Amino acid sequence: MRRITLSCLIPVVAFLVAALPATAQTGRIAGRITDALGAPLPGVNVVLKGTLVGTASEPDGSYVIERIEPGTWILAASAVGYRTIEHQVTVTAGGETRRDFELAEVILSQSEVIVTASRRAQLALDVPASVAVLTPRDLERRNVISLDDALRYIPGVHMQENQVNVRGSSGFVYNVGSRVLTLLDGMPILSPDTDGVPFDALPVAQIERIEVLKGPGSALYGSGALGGVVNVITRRFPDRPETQVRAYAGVWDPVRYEIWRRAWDGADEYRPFTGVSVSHSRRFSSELGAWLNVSWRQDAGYLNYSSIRMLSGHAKVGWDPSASVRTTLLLGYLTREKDNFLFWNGARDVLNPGSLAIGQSDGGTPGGSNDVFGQQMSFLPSVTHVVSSRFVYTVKGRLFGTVIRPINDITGDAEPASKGTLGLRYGGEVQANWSPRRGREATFGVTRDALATRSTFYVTEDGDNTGGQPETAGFAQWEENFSSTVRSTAGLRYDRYDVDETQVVQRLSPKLGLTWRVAKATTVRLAYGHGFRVPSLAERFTDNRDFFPIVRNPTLRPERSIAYETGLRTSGTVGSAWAVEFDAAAFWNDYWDLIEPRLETRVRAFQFVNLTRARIRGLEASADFRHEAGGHLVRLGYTWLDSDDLSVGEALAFRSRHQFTGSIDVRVYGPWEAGADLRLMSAAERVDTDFARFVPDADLLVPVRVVDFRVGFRTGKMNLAFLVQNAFDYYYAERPAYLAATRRFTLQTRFDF
Amino acid sequence: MLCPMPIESRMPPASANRRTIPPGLVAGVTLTRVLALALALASAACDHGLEPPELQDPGSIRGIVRYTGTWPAEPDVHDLRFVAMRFVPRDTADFLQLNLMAISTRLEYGVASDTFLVEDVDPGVFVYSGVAWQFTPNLLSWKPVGLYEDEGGIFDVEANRVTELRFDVDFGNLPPFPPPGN
Repeated sequence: MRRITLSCLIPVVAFLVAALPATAQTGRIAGRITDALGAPLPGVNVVLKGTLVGTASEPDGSYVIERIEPGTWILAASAVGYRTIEHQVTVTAGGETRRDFELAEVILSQSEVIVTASRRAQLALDVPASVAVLTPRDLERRNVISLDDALRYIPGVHMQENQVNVRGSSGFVYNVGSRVLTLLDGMPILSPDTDGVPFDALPVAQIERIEVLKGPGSALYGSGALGGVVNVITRRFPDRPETQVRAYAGVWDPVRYEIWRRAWDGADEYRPFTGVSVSHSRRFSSELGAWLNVSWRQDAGYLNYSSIRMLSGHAKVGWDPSASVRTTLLLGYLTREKDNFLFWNGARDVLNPGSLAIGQSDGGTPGGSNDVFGQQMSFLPSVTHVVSSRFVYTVKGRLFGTVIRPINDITGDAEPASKGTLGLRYGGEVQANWSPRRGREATFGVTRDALATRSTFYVTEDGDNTGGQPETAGFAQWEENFSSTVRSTAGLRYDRYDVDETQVVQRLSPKLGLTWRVAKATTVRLAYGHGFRVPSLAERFTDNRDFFPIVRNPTLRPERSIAYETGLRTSGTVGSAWAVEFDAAAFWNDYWDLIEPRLETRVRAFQFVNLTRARIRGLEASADFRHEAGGHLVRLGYTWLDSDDLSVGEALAFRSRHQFTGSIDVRVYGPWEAGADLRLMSAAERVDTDFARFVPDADLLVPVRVVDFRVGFRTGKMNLAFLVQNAFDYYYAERPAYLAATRRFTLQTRFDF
Repeated sequence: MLCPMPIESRMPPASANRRTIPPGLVAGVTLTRVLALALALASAACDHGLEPPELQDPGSIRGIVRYTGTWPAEPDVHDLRFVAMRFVPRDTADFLQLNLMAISTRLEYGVASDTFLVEDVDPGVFVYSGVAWQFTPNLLSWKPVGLYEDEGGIFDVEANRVTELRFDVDFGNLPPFPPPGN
């Protein structure tokens, strides 16, 4: 087993010491930010260009930036949904400069800033890729309590219970080996055992926005970014202390079919769920800020063996020792007891887990669920140094740990970690952004990551049950404006994985992109990129027969993809009141060596194998309509997929040909709001027949037709909402042999102090 | 049942308030239309999606199996059951399609003949049935040792009726598995 070292953190510590500021006579800038009607705008970012100095406006629109070196500065105010304004200001020693801003509301794309596509902030219009953004309002209005809840409403994204599927890139493999890379503030945070997405480990209450890059991102992010990238970006710190309490409670509606209820006593009850989240954020000084969030949730679950109890805490500390240096430390911890409902007991008994053992189908310990006690910890430091207005570099470290302890079915106690899984993902990276001249941007860096995961489920090559798989990579990207309207991007990443002492995997992942601004608010884009994913330790080494009979396969090869995309993004107005943002894309993705679990009769068990050569082509369109004066918002999205499993000449399993998402939010009267979401998907064209042979009625998939309603009122300090999710109690399987969430009623409230 | 009312009943008359709506509220009318469209789409959800399969009165399978040949050593017989399948299996993994099978309790070892009764069997056609032997502890280590072959091996189970079967197991002449042609 490789030992964990803190070598990646040494540069961080050294840099912190070196960057301690020299105190000097300084001045300050203050002002107020309003919209075109004079209403105060909170949360607007006000920064001195070329530095990290800045703040966000208060609820009354006011802002203050202190400790500014005397001189002339460019002050920029920006917020999502508003046109960015810049003013030249002069700061004198000991003096205060007043500067007010009046921001004009615009359609989203013109001012929306994306960081995921190029590892640097850039306007959405300039991004040569499809990117969707979710804001805190999007999360709040739907009572999103974990990331998977949020992603369901993005066009082209299909959640299969706990697995993200971007544009059909994934089938269903129980969130093992995610083909969508998840980042937290730009740092990879896939679980160290399965490379799955740790949805509960993300601080939903302190999210500034979520960016979803649709398409391969391996040229910048390496393994895992085969089908897309989800980047969760956390908040900075307000100037004035803020405390937020968010609480919700609700019930699952009993299912309507008596035959289902009859099989489980708990099904006749309204099964409760509840949660509370308390956050406090503040700046202690112009240099030091922090936020802390503690969340607790409990859910009785609508399925037998699907309950969860979870306590989590997240904290972020920021220290800006000088105008050119920003340091942050993001910490997270959660403890969770969870029943994992794996598969049902057939279409007549969907609320109970099934059994795999012949002779136990009418009783005994259910094999279709497992109970675990889990803990996750994250430690993510970073330092950014603005050397000049043309050169910035960032040093990041990461440590993500997980402990999974099975719960003894007889005693109900958690077994020691030695009988479960103990995993660490650790590493670091250095990234530099260099802008040699206007319109020319270079991004380059190196990363080093490794795993140290021990699981009783693993049988590794050296005979123990511990895996490592260290990775070293270097990446570079060059962006160049050919003219005032044409912008190109070229990137290349080299990855080296030491899978074990005898096997080394090396990959080159190039990408090319072009954006052409054909009109002031319209761009056409072309993109080409490679993706790859190195098999997770779980796929390679799991050898166990407790639930599914699985045998290991150490010879797995990495999955590969090549993607082509062309798209158009535009914005404008309809009539005099509605602003419209429209995006359309056509994409063609080829995949090689896709890893899927197959029933191998030779070994009489399931095994992860490189099986599938696939092609997915598709079209996607989304349109957002915003009524600027009325505060109404309508969002529509449609994705058409044509998937081919070229190895068998059929459609890929678990992919839907049609997907439609729609949402509407209306300001009804005064503070009263109402909204609805609609999700429609055609039934998967094909299901995995192996799984259907294994689990009763696992081939039963129907179209998805889910409607959510919500109504509430919102003031500056308080928010109260009532939600009915899956309002028509439509029953469907989001993934095989698993009844998706049924109707539930939620009352949620939020107080800001 | 919570399903949307007909769209027409929720929409105001087309002419109502036309002259009194301030221009700024035109958007509201547009929104109403969008909402109506959403509700129309949502009404598609009223087919309720997944439903439990029709529940029919069950039938039963009763049978007599006669053994010939030399039994395997007892430690090698980890399990022995009558299994009736609604499909022709491709390999031993198909023994796990429990929802498409009827399975007896464990049969007795070393006897000359045995009887079995499988109750609460959903009505329908079974096409491949016989006695299955689990020859190792492995979940998938099953193979047939004798098949019901009258009428091509096909029989019906009807509601509230008992289907009678009679067949032989010859340990010296096990049936091929997987079945030829599959």
